[in-house]
Amino acid sequence: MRSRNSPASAAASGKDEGAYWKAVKAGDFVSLRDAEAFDLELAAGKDAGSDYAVGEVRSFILRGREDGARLGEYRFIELTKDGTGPLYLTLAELEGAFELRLYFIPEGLRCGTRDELIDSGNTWLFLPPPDPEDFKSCDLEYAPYPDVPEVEETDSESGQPRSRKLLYSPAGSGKSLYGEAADTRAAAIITEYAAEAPPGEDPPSNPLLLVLEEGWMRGGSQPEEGGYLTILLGKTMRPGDIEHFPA
Amino acid sequence: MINARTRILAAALAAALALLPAASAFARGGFKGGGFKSAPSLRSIGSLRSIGGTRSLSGWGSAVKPALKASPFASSTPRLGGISGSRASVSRQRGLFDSARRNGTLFSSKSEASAAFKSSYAKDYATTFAAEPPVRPSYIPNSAVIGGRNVNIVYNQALGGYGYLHPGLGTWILFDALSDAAIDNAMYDRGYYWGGTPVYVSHRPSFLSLAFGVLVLLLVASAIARAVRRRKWQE
Repeated sequence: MRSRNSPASAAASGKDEGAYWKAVKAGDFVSLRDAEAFDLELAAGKDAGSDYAVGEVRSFILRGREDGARLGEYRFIELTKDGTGPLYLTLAELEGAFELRLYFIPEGLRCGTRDELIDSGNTWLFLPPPDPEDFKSCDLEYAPYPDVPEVEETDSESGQPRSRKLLYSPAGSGKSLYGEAADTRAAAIITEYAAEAPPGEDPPSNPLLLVLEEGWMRGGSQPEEGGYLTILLGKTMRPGDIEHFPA
Repeated sequence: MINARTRILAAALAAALALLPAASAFARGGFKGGGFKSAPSLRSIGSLRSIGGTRSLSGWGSAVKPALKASPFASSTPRLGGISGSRASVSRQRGLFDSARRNGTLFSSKSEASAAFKSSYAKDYATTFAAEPPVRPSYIPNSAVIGGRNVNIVYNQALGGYGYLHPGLGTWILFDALSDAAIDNAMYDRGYYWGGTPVYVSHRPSFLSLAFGVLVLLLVASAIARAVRRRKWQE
């Protein structure tokens, strides 16, 4: 039987502070109250809001490439619910500023090493090598404008499902962030993009694309198969749209 | 005047130089062992990728911002390779919580992985038996490299298990199925992964091997030139 403490207002409970979200730990509960959560619950015929259990929390320390100074931290908080794939409430903290985001691994994308992605035809994330007939996955560079496959959503006016091509451009500083996983100390790269819709069309509901590559560098050199990639879609979240219930 | 011998020698040298770029294409050093990786396979060691026969869900990315065109309203049937853009359809992959982490078998170093593996599975890799088993355990190889020399691993009744005659010590040693050399495959089979210093295996041809190749070509060219000269003399 889980216990629930009463949620407090965002200001009073310190939701505007990164420290509040850093306290979220495995075993806690989180309730999402953004518009997409409401739409999903209404479509499913249930009460408004979505309740999730907090699974693992993984933190990635970001550092400057020149001096190794700590720049910030990305904390991925796994949210689980029976019968659905996990979501990742993410605290993105960089140079003193933080942002809350909600990510998920979309159906149709796979996670894996660079070799596994390339072998399964997922070349869209990388720039073409000088010779497509002769290259190593670890040598590929992330494309500033990845050729992301068509994104399937529900048209807001008609309510019908649709597929469309979105343009993803570099987000944030426009450069990849380097660091390491706090638990395994594996070298990590975080590359971020933001999508824009074609002219005259609604913006995408989850415009953020984040690529997390772990283990891309080992012992000072790059393994041929590349690091392990997790590709996430998501959006920014207002702290007030998330309720946290400590266990 | 350029005679036939000179032409042949020049052609041989040109052929040797033409081979150098191809040699360098295969000369990329690779990493063997260690690291977060899937079960070992020949493809993952020293192999190069070719996209020619691979189905691509879409093309490569671009360094230049492409033009964004309005998309026509699509039917409910998605195109092959589309991805869900909504939380209504979320993959069950755990991605950054991959199976190795979920199973508690992902470690930051091989030594940590080995220690954890041995504490869990040492009993499954026993090499001591009161009597020789009717079937040799699969994890005990027929031979192993000890002290740089290949030795046979055999059951020794006096030893009480499988062992080998140490090439340097001249004594029988009980075989350790979880030694550094033997443990890798056992860990891979059980889904153990680790990050750490890889063992660099150079696939780059050395200067000596290149020089030897050129020498062989020159000798062949010289032999051909002698044969041509002899034939002309006979004519």
